[in-house]
Amino acid sequence: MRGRRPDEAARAAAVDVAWRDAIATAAISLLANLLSIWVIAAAIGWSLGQSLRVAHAMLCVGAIGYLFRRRRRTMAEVVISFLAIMLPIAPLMVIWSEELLQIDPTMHAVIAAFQMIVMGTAFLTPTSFLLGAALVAAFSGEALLLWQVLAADSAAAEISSLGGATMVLSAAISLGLLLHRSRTRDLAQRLIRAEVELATLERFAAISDQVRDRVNTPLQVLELGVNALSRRVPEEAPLLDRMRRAIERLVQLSSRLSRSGAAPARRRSRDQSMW
Amino acid sequence: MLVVEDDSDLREVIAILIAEAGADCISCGSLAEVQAELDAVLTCHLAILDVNLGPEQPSGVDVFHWLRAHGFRGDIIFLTGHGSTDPRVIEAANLPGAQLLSKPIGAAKLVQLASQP
Repeated sequence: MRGRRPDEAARAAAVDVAWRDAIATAAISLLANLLSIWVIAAAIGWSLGQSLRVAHAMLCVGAIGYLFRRRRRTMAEVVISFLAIMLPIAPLMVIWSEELLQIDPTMHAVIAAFQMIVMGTAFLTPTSFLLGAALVAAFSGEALLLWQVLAADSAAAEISSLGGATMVLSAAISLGLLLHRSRTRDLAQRLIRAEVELATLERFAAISDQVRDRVNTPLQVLELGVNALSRRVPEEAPLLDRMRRAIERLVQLSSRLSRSGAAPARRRSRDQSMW
Repeated sequence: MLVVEDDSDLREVIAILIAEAGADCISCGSLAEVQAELDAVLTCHLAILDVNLGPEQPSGVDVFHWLRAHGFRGDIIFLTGHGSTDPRVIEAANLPGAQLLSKPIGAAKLVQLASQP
């Protein structure tokens, strides 16, 4: 963070965290696709859904490669990569739900899958609370819609409204988690800004100390030299008085540098005592 | 009076002022110069020592210890341009019997010190 402006450092840290979240999203999605391919292949065989999952898995690999190769990352790139992974999940889930119903007609597996997606979204959505909330709402809505449509034609129609209720609860918890992450992120940003500002002040204080230390000896020479001159050349008293006043102003400036140098050290000491 | 100051301009102007005040002054720029003037130094009633005598050089604190080890019984005043958080300044301020003054001191103060018996 050395040498960076506070906002720039906070922004860079936010992009870094979002980048890790997007990488984790891609990695978890890749793992979920591979597991789904394996489960469905064992239970049903190959299908259109399997091909689409392979495509999505390849998209996840591509996203991971793209995110790792970018040295100068921007938040827009990270968010676009995240959305490129997340948005295809919505249509994939329609196909997967129909496949799952062939294995488990009670809809429990479908609801559980949507709950995992919603919670994962809450854990990993980079940066924006609104983006995460929109995705949570979209996936929850899709789950409830599928539950209504698919359950009507299956044994799931007999299982009360438990699935829908747990889905709504998962969505609510996910929104709470998103809100908590948003607040934690804001706090971290403020902390980073404060740390950068403190580092800047400490550098300024160190420079002030050096300037003051180097100025004091020449000031001492001037102070004593003008005094010696005023004794030797009393007829130049008006001129020497002006010089003395100028020296006095420099002495005051030097003592101001001294005070500004002490302030951050005091503040750091107080901060450390808090912890 | 002994003055140990690595800045030659300041050393000379202090010597001029003290001489004009009617006192004797031995000016040295380093511990080595003080050691070379041992006999004359031990007759002084007051030593004014700059804390920082230059990079890689023994400090005013080293001069203090050397003087005391060799029987110097006069008062010792440290003069420093460094802030009170400098480790050498803190060490100097905690030495027994030593006084610490910050640069710049007024000419009147210097003359007053030189005039003390």
